[in-house]
Amino acid sequence: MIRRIVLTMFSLVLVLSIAGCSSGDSKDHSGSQIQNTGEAQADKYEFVYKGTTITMKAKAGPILEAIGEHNAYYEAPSCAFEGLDKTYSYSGFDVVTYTLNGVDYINSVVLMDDTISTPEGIAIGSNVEAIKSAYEEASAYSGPSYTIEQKDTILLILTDNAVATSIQYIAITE
Amino acid sequence: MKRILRIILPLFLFASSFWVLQCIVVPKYVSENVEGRLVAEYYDSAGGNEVMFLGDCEVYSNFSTVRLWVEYGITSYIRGSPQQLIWHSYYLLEDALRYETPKVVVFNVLAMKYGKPQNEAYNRLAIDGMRFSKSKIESAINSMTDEEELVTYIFPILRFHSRWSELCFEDLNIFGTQRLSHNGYVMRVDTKPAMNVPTPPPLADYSFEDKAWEYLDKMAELCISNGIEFVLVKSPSIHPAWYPEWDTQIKEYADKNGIMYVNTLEFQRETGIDYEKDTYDAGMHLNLSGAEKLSVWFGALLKEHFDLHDYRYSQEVAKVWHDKWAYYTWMKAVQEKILLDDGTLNRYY
Repeated sequence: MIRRIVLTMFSLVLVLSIAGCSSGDSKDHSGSQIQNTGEAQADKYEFVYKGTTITMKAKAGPILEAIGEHNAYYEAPSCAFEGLDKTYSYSGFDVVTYTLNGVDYINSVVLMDDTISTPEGIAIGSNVEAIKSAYEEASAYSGPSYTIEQKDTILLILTDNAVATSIQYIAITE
Repeated sequence: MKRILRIILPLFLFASSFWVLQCIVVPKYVSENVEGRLVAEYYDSAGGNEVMFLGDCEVYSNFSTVRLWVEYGITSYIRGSPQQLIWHSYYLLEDALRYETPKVVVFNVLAMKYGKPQNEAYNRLAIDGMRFSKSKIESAINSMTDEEELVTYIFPILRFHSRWSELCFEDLNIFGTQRLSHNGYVMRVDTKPAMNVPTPPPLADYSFEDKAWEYLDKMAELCISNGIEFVLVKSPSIHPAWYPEWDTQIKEYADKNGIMYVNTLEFQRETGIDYEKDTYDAGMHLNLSGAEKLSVWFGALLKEHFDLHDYRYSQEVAKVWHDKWAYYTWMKAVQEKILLDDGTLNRYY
């Protein structure tokens, strides 16, 4: 009798725990910090260097290879989870990547000085009129920051005294 | 009697089977993401801690509780977990107050940069290890991302049941594993110098979000209502950035509320931290050498400002801490040997 009860109870618990819940089946237990499909989408405004388009959330390897040797490199581990956040510094801009399932993806591009400009001709030091002329979406803003949100990329232009002080392409990851 | 047994026995068997299965399937954080064990480890050392640190990896990597003991006889505990958000810290403090009332609570302010729930994985690390309580439930409610469900924090088996297919030997050890931390401090003896630290990009908005302020207020009020001194600290790390604009906001808050705020980044010479020798990951976290330097300096500051007892002369407490010190020195020796043998610190012990 007791054996029957034990077996029945154990089976019930097993069934309940395996089949009776649907909330987590498709979730990743590894806890990767940034979720995406790894499929990069072309956006209207992207950074281009030496003919290579640096698309946010695209696989970093081929892009880094195409744009050539970096001047400096920094890597910072995640607190607990997967991979490293890596920063590759080039003349005039930094490329930051993140890791997902062992693969590095482009996370951001930050223009660091006025030697580099966007494909639309905007560089650090460009004035607000030039920014609004280059990016029609920027006209909706009064500054000092201009945030152009696209499908996978935020183009962020910060200004001070009506002049661009920072230009950043940032992946939309969540 | 038999009738009662017929009702109670199946219920008992059901509950115990459920509990055992749950214990088996939840992650043990032994071979990976080991910091997931930190929150639960607290309960073995709860009680008698005069200083409680709260925060993320900048706390559990950077302050050595054992060094605070050895130098000053300060008893302390670090309630920290990776990317611990401010409301995680608040509810962990509330939880800790069920067991003890420290004299000083030290909160690391880096978490102010987050005003929204970030990621389930980090929620799990901060909440799953808490014993069941109102604080745990409230922490989960305030932390959950859109895809999460509260019931999975009460019965984690509902979240982790699909781990059946990936269970390994370590999952069968449901009665706990060897301690990772030293009263919350996670030791690393290896060194990776900070080089080529990138310039942090400017932000569009440096304001901390309302929810972060709300919980800072709540933490301050909780400390006041329990007669606890509240201290804000910015732990030393040169990446990720701690912007001057953020620092100004915290300084103003501390001044306005009469709270002590210590930005350790401003005391590099006094702490003696050398980012070529005292960090294991190029400036994000301190290694053992750095954590000990910081703790010697910070302990002196705590002794100077607060009435902390030197427990080294209390036989009962000293015995407990002697054992902690022995474990600490043992782990240090083990890590140094691993580093020597393998050339890299690929495990903690």
